[in-house]
Amino acid sequence: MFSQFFVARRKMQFGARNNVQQLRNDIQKFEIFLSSVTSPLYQFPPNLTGTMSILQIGLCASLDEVNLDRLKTKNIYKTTDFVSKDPEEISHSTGVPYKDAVAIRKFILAQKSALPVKGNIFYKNAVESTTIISTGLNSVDKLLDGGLYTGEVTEICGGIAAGKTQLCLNVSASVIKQDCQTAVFIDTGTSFSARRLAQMLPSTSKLEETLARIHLYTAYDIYDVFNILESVRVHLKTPSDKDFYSRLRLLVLDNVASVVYPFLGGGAFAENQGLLCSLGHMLKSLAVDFSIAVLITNNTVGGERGMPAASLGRFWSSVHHVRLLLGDKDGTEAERTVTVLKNCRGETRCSMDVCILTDGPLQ
Amino acid sequence: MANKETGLQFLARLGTRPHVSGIEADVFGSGPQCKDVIEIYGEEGTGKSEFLSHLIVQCILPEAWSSIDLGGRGASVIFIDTEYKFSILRLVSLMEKQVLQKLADCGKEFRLDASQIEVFIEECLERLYIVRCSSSEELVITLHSLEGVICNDPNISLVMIDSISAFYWLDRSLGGDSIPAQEANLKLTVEALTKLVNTYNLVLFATKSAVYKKKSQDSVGFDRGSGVYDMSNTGCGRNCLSEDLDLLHAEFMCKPWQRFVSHRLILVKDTGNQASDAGNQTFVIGGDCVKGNQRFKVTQAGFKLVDE
Repeated sequence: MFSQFFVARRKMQFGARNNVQQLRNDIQKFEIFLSSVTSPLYQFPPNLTGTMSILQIGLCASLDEVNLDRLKTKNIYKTTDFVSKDPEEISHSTGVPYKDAVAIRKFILAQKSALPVKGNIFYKNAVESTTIISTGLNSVDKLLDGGLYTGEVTEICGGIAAGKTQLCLNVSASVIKQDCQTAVFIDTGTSFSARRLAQMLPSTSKLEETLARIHLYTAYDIYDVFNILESVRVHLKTPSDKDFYSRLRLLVLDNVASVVYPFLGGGAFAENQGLLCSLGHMLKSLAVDFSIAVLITNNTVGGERGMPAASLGRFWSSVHHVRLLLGDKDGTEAERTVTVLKNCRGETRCSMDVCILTDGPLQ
Repeated sequence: MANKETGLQFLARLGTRPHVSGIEADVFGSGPQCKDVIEIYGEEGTGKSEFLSHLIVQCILPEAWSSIDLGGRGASVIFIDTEYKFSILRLVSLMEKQVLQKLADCGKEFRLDASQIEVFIEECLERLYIVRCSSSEELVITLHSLEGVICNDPNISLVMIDSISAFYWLDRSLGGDSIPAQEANLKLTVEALTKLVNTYNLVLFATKSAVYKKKSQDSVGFDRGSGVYDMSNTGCGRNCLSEDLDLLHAEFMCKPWQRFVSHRLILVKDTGNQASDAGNQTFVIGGDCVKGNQRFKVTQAGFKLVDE
């Protein structure tokens, strides 16, 4: 599949390089430099900072110190700058031998660009890797045409005490009660309760074994969330805790708004939106690259015409594939209404009622 | 210095590619012509990606199959997905519905079984290339490497990018305070696209999400006396069909991109009175639309213009 392709290509290139250690040192030095000049509030996950796009010695055989200095005299520091110029022009203006310029260009294009995949292969992969995860509630499953789809990000928004965490726990319970599936729960507001989760599991299941299929992480700010998502990604790529991660089907992030609010609204609007962009990107790429269903919860704020709208702004509305609104049902204590606000795959604005009981699963 | 090119590049440049004019005539008229760059602008959830999927279906289906007139163009499409939102399952379902619809329209007593249609759809999917980019640097480098793909396949006549504004905030925050640094990657993207579109006579569609919103024209008045919001002005009165949608467009991209775009389509959610029913949400497409603003719906069969 796509990510395997990428990893294999990288391995191939790594084998051909002779001074890998020096390359690692260079990258480390640059990252230390970068972290020292930018203030901690604006640090981004390393794979998104663009440090990988700097031309460095050892990137490929033809890019030695001499050539690198020649390129620097003409202000060509980044791979993007190099690739945008014709190799003949580069050779003419910087004195780098034409053969070397062509070789470096080929190398960059082979290593740094994304591979196009033909539609039929893409389709086959999608069919094989997409599973539908039941939410545990028949009514919501009907709304979502089967349930949560892997490869998609679903967002549940609702007011305070609307039942978002309850719904997340219900979905987690329905995932882990099957032994071929595991789940990761990232809790930002210490609202996870193993006891409540146990109440939602069928009474016949072996409790300890079932609960071992969910891993709980606590995050107190957005950098914790980034670290956790990054470590999940690393685990998924390398076969360390293979038993758990090869069966991972669900990732829950409850509640996104509580880690975003501390920095949103501060002075640097562009930087804050950039962080939101990185977070959205990490969630989407985890869902798509590893066929996981990502479930996030969000708060609501008063929107246009008095209707509740999801918080975190306009940019965040482009991150999810499906958005559900959990609202009160006319003041009744235990009942809630689930409305579909946005659906990439089907109809919007339909709603169903859900009942939250004190013990036992939701209905 | 003369520009060198290989024989393959020469043929790829001068050879003819399948034309895509005539698709969706109500929107494009006789276009889209070669070297057209069409920007599709709209807020979240207004149907931009749906519209692109609809266009893909029209392009990759052939003109006819088993003597059924399908009305496609048989052209190959490169789809660059920066938002990780492209759903191939949805595309296949749209194609199936289109084929079945044309079959029913034909009226002939054809009994094609599901496996034949499946094989046919997989053949059509070979005309689609999907590329996923995760950063603006990767986008620039990918566009340069796509030149090789375009050279080798003389059937490619359409490039779609969904969306071109996906990395806007990331680039802005990484660029710091200097605007040239923020826009550097976007400028290089536009350069690469210009080269591809002009050298190989392609058509480019790009979606752009509404990052900034112009101040809304409707006002919600709060009546202090009774403590009630005065809803009479909002939404219901605004008739999107007669509105000039160009006014809703707020530009935020760099100047090279603005010069590059030849046409702009604007999509909005229709806030007319019937819009609040479940499943009945209508949208309006306007801007450089040939027949003026038109209403459309997104049904199970995809994008569909609604006649008044």
